[in-house]
Amino acid sequence: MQDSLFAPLRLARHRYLAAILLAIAAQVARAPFHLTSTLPFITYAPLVLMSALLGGFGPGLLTTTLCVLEIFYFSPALSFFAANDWPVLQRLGAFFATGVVISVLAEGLKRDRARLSESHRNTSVFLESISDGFIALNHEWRCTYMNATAAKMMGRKSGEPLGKSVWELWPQASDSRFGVACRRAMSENVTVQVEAFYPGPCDAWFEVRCYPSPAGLSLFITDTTQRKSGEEKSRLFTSIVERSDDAIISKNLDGIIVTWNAGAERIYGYTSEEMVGRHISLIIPNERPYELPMLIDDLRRGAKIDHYETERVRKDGMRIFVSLTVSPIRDAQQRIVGASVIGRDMTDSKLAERALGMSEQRYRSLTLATSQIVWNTDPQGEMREDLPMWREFTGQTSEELKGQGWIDALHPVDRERTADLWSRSVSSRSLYHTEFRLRRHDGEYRHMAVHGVPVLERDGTIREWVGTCADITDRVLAEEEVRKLNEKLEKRVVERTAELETANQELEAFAYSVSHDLRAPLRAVDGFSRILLEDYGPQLPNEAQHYLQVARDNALQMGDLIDGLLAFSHLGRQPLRKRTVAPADLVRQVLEDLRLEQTGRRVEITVGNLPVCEGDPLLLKQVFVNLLSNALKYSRTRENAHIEIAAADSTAYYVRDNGVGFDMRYADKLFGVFERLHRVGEYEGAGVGLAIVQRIVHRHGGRVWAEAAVNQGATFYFTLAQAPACEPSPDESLRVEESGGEVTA
Amino acid sequence: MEQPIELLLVDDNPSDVELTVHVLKKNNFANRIKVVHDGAEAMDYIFGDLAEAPDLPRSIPKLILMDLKLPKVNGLELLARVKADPRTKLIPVVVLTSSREERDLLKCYELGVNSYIVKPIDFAHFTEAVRHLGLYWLLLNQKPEIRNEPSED
Repeated sequence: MQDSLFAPLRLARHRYLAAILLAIAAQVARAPFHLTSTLPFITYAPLVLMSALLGGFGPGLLTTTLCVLEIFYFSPALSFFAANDWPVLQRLGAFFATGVVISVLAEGLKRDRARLSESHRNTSVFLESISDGFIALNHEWRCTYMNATAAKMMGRKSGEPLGKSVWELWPQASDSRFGVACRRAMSENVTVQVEAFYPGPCDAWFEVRCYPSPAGLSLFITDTTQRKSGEEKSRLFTSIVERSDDAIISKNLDGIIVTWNAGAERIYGYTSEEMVGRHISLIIPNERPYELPMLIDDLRRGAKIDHYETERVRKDGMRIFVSLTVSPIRDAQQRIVGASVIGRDMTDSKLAERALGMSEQRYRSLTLATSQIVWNTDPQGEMREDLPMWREFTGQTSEELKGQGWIDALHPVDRERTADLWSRSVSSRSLYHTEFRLRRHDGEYRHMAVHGVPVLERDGTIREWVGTCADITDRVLAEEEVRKLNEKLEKRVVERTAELETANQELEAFAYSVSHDLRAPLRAVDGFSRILLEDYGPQLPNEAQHYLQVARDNALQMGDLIDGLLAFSHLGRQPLRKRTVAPADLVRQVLEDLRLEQTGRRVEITVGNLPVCEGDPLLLKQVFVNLLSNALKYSRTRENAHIEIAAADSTAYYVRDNGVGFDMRYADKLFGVFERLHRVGEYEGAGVGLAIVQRIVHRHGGRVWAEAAVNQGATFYFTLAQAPACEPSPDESLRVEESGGEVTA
Repeated sequence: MEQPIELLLVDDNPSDVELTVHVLKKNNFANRIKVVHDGAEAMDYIFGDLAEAPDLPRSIPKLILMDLKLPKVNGLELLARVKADPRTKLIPVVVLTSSREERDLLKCYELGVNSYIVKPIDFAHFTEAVRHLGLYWLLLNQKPEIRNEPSED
């Protein structure tokens, strides 16, 4: 302790040695004067004082005593025997008393100083020992004390900042929340506490408490970085738990719920308020009573349970699948006090898994049920898996069919084509469809229809190829049979057609000859008969002239027959040129053409509604010509002839007259060539008119028939195609009454 | 020198030939009629001996009246030959036949026939037809002069 010049000596022997030395020094100092006994004794006093100050009461008293003895010894004027010299004794006594008093005072001073020093030391030790930093500032903001902790916190050497202004030491603190707090504490004389992050050299959180003091300001500084990061971590954990999609629950070993996060609220439907303090069995299904004890047993043993899949009951009663991870919670003494349970809702994935399982099962069943061979390959078209159905069919081993080995089971002729097609399908990712012959285990080649499709991943890449091979041998053979039969049939058709063509050609040649050659003789008969009559008539008897006339008539009749026959045969060879026809127009034309036949007669002609139809207009006109000329012909004996042309329904047309009619018994002969129901002399005609009508109607795919009775007129019906595209034409009912060839509309 | 033929009648049917000639003569149309009875004969008559006078048909009649159905070379072939040869193509050719077959008519007109008449069976009609025919083609109709010039080819 160098703070005082007269700091008491620490050790007792030093103090007493110093006392003796001082006493000697006092005598030495007095030696020049000891002969003169008048020198006051007071000159010893400073040394006594010095001894007392250095050593306290004891050494002071020792020095005083030694000085008294020295006086007696060195002062001849004095001795114990000559102690009757009162003034001297009085002075000596006063000196001694003074020495004692000095010693006592010095002792008191020494004690006070020792006490003060102790107290000071204690304070310092306290300030140095506390974990907080401590800085004392005077009113000029100068640092008067700073403990080691504070120095360390601030990155300064201990003692270095003493006497310096804080604002010089830490200029950046001036504007910080610390600076503001310190100034406020100083100026307002209040305690201010502040916590803030102090960047720069420290990079730490500090809590600073500023206490105003008479000397200035005391600052206590606590490094709260650790606490802060703990808080931060804790907040983070809380946030993680709260934001987790999983249900995170903690419970004690009795199964009582302690915490319940938002995830748990969402998954189980109960709020935290509803569940904290309740028993966990609330969400465990009744049929799983063993589950909780089992879990708790595991927990007590400290075991962690990972991904335990089970069922739970939501608040709304719905069953959900959850995957649970249960971990023990330990207290500070490592005792297990509870468990954390992390639950994940697996309902969707479980259901998806089930659906997938069912689909898989369905696929397997189908594979078993089908008679087809089901196959699959990797995306590159290589057989990877064993194909039992293929093996069974072909007798190949699973090794043999792997990769492209399956191609070896094909008919050698089909191999290259199939391999090409397959690799093309694989590279173009297109459907694969082909047929090939496959060698069965018994060596027989069977025709197979093969289909393959790529199974795509979501991103469009191929996951695998799946397909089937179906044995279509029976079908192929049947098709072959059909093809052969068709060929045979076609051949026969060609033969028959050729025959028919030949026959047709012959017929045509025949008709051609008839048309040329059969007429010439008739012309000769008629011609020469006529020449005979003209040139030699007067020389012939009447009878001969009549015979010649008969010959001529017959020749002409024969000519008519030939013309009819040719017209009839001509019909079959003429192509049908169908178009939309308005029969009403045809009827009008025909009636115009037949005006001559009506000359001098009363004929009432009624034209009803005639729907349009599809047909050959020339041929249909011929039909109406024949039917109408018949109607006119066979009604000519009637004074008032009635002829009606109309449609019976949407497909059938009819021509009705009130003529002589015919006996229905002979109706079947009506449409035969050269068939006549009347004698030649009665009505003219070759007997081909109705045959032609029938032929035309038949060629149109229709039907013709008649209804009649003798003397009661006849009705001829005909239809065209079975389902003609006929629509009723606008009602153009036409009523024509003809009298003496004059038309009145 | 032999007088040129007015009318060449090609018909194999003697009755028809007789009737035709009868009518023509009766109407004084053709006094110089040459009758041949088949297509080959007609060809010979018209084109003659080609080696002797290759460029000169023996006779250029004013009118050829022919049937279609003829032995050896039929009427259509004959017509084709006559109408194809520049030396004879200007001679009017009238087909007089029993047939009214559409295809015959069509073919004849394609080959350039000048008229096509069907022989009626009724002699009265036949007479009328031949009379009209003679009147028209031998008397009324005007045709370019046919000169016996060497052909270009």
